[in-house]
Amino acid sequence: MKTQLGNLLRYITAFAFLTLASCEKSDSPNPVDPPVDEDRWITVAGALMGTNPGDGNGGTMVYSVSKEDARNPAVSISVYDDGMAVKSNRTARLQSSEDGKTLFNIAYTGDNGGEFSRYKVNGAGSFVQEDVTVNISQYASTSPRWLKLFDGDKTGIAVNVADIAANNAADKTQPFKYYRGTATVLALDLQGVLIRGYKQYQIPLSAGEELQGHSIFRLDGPVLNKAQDKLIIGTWMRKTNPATGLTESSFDRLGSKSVVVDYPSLENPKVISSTVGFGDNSGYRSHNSFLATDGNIYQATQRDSKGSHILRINQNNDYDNSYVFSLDAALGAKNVYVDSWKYAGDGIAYAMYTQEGSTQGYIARLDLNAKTATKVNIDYDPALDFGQYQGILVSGDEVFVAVTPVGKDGNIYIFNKNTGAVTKGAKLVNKAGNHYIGVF
Amino acid sequence: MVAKNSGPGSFPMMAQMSSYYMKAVFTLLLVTIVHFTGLSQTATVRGKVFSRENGGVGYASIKLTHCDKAVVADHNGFFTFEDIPFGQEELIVTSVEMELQRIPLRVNKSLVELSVIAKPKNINLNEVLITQKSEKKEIETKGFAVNVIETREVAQRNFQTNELLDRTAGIRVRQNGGLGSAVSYNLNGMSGNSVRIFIDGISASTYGESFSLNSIPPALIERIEVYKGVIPAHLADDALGGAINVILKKGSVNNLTASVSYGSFNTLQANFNGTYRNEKNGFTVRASAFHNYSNNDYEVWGKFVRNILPNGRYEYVRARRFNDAYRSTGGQIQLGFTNVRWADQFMIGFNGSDDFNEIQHGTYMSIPYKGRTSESQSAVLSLNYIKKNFLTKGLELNVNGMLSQRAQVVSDTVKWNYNWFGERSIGLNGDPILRPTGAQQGAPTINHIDRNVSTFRAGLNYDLTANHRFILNHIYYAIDRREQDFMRTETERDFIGTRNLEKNITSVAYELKAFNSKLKNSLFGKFYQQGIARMDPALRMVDGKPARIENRTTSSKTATGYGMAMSFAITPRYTILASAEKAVRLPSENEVFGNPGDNIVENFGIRPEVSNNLNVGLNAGTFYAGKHKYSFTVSGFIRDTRDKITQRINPRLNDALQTNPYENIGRNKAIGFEADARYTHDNNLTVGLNMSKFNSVFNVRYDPNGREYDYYNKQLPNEPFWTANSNIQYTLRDIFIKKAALNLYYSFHFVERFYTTWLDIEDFRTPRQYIQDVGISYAFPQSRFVITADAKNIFDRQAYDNFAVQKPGRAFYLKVNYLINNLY
Repeated sequence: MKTQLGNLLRYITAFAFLTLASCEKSDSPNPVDPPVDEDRWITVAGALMGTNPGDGNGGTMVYSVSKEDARNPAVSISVYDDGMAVKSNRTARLQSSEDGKTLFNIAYTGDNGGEFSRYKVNGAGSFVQEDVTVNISQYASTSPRWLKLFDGDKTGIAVNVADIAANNAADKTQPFKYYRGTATVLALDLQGVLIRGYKQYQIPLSAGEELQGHSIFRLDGPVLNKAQDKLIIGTWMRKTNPATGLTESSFDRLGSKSVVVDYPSLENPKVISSTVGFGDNSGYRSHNSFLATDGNIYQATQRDSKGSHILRINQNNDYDNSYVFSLDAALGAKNVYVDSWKYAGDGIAYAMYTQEGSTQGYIARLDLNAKTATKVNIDYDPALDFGQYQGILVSGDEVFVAVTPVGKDGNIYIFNKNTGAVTKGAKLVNKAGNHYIGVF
Repeated sequence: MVAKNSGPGSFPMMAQMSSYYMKAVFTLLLVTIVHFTGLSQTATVRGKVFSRENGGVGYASIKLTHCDKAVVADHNGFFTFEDIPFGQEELIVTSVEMELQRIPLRVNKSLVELSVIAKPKNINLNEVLITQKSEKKEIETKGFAVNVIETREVAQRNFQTNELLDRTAGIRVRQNGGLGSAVSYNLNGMSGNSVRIFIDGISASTYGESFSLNSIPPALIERIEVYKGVIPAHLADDALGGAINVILKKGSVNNLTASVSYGSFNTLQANFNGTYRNEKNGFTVRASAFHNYSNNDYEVWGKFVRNILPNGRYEYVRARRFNDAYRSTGGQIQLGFTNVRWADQFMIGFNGSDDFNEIQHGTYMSIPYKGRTSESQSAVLSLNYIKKNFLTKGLELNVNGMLSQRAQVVSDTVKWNYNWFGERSIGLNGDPILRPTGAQQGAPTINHIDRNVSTFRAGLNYDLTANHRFILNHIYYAIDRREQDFMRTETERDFIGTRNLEKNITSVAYELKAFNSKLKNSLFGKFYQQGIARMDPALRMVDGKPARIENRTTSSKTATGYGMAMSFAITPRYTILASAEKAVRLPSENEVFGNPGDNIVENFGIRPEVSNNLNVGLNAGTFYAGKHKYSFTVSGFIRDTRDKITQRINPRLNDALQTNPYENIGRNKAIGFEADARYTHDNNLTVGLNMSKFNSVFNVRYDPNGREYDYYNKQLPNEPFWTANSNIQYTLRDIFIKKAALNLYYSFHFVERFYTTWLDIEDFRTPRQYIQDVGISYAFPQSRFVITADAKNIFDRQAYDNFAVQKPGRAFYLKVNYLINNLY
């Protein structure tokens, strides 16, 4: 019975496919195969330019194909011609469910900034927005930073730091002690589409650090630990000169810091510091810390005075300073900067990075256990820029990335985490000024 | 220039005219342009024809017999003769409405003023129509793409200056809410700092927010000139896309007007305007004042008006705005002498104004604010000297000096979220939720911005002959700005820099009239020089101790612009207009120096924005067909903007520390047309129609890889590119009281929907809008008392200037105007 039904469906879709295909214009992308139950939708996202090429401020469009099509270099995908525009004034902040059937978005800025919505993925440019939305802007602003936890699509975490001010701003008779902002940590119920809880607090650094003018400027990149009782949240630090109130553009960076809060209560924020990395670890628009198979959390650094490092946070929720993994050293390059990276399993990760202050992006395969990194062999182009990259997808043994230089066509690439094999997949048709920003 | 007979008149106000008389008028009007060759002294003769019962008598013919010059009075009875030789004259005034009058006149000073009291004729007569050239028409036929908005009529109604502008072809006023809220002007597809506002030819920034188009009522305005794309030499500023010049009333005859209006949302608007002139010694006092207040607590609703529940879900509500009150008060007084031997005008003035504005929301109304306010004050001392025939005949000197102190305070310290009911939003734990930015719109602030502005302008016009005029104009503008945020520590405030800006603009022009003034031509050049001085304090170690030092940098930019305007009257009824300018906009202080607060770094090499602007148009009319009278204008334009200043974004830079500078990378183009038509029937019915449509497009064609941009030639987002307006007025006379007039008004306003982002999705598209207003006014005999009632947006439609910012719904206003015109 089941097979018959399946066959029937296959015939119908094949018929529909043929009918549609016969109407297609020759320049449209190849049509999409019907969904296969065990298959997963591969959704690619592209960012439109706003005023300048590559700024991604014109909005975001998405398009889904089957895994098979994603792997097929003969298939070409044009998200800008055939995709759906996600409701976000500027670049949408997308996440996908583990099965790929649902897309989560929080609109970034605009009248609906902070609005969380869910889209059912139906393949190709068909995404159906579910009619329930929830808005977190009162807690986390209309331009929130948020990520999905790896907890079976149950929870999203949004974070915010606001109103960084000196302790004596209001009362000048007090001596200066610190610059602090008010942090918000918010948990979003992705299934119920509700705000589950939030906490707001000031997060102190050490008295000495604060007296020098250091403060947490931004929080981002939250990750749940193995015991699922703590959230580790990355930080972006700033230093203000207490004698002038001016932010400093070059300063001696403190050891990288993360904020640890209890989960699910979101209470008891504590700051932990690395003695290995000296950069920020907030990431930018994508996950930056991952719980690895070994139970440790691995975290990349940005703006690190010694080039990006991968730091380890152990199961006691503190930095393991015996773990030293410098990407400068591993890649034999200077000033490596991780734009986006993803843990693929079994100690293997893939990182998108730049080096020596250039904006050109590269991809490396990292072995966290061996502390080695190798540049992956794909087509590189000076206009390849992963600065706004949001989504590296791991599905089974495969790692999917969308590689397009700004304004140029590119491809989906599939890396095998076990063998390191590189497959050039579907062609990504691009438009002037635009770039693809992720696979979900 | 033809008078026309129609059937026996059924309109008592009309007077009959013999064919002999018609010919006389015809001849009189043909001699309006007189070449002057003599060297003797000349004078200006001006005045008003009015009747005691009905006020001004429009369109009377006035002739000076000895010098054989003739003019036609304007709609309100005002007339002016220029270049009248000194000596004995005789003035003959004729009109269809009055008996012929002969008045002996002695021309012995540079300005002779008189009033003519008409004795009404009581004969039933045929209709007579005479063409005339008002100041409006005079300006509009010089060749520039200009609209002259006269305020006489509308000043008696419940209209604000911005509403008046918004109903004009090619202008879109975009206001962020009700009376007093932030406003921006779009002229033929160019907006923001491309459009400069002037008050009496002086940059409006001399006065600041409190004395602006938001607060000055139409009753204090003589007219508004809106120059699109090409701006004459005397309006000197780096206006890339156009200029709006507000000419305040400057009566030099004794009069006093006052009005008060009250209506919906507790809106009160009052003003008075008076002039006194001593006939003997020319001593003149002009005073005016205004007061505006509104709660602006109008209702808002729809998809942008929602309360966010603790769990994040929406609850759509209909609510009244609760933090949007506006108050402005201001006045000016000028003392001096007018029309005396040594000056046509010598006035010393003081202008003071003050406003207070609550700000209900930011760019979108989806998040309501409480307690965010802005206050501003300005005090301006001015001196103005005008002398015609200065030193030599034909040379006119115009000197203007102003010193202004402006103060502004933006205050935002309330740290809670509010919902649309004005209540604190409660979070999941039952506590009020802190604003994610610290205060309503951003970080808490009590920012005091003080500016000292000095403006000096000197203009020389030299009329070589009646057909050749040379213009030299220089303006110096300096602004010192100081900023102090009292929410920051004293130390921090000590280290906030200052920015001083200086502009010198010299413009020269040559104006030519040829072929009996059929051809008018103006060529002009503008030379801009801008200096900006930056002082940023810093901490340095001096003798081992930290010390505050001041880092000073200056930037100097120069630019040149030039253009022309030309008009040619093919026939008296068809005039072709063409104008073109290479317009520039100098980079602002933020664009040069960046902004440490917004983490934008400096770019000293930044160049001015340049736009090549072109207008062509046709003015046609006035045509007469029986009782029908009509006229129209059509024009087309191109704005080709290059080197647009925009900011590139690089996320890898630490935006806690620095971001990219402004650069000259953009290119836009706007092409469009507008049309304006006017129809009058029997002097009772007036119908006006105008529309404007343009394509304002992204004009960079290829990316660095040679690939064509999808946006190339695509409409820029967030541009209201198609608007249309119509207004109908019907006048009934002798209602209730003889000589009284009842006016009925109807207006219709259309704005086509447009996308607000590059994504063409419905969620980011504004609705199409049709807004309708009605009004009625009753003018008692002599027009001393005029009562008007207006109902705006009668169908209570959701009106938007900006995406997701609703404007007031249905509203009612009542206004009483009182006029004392003591002319004799």
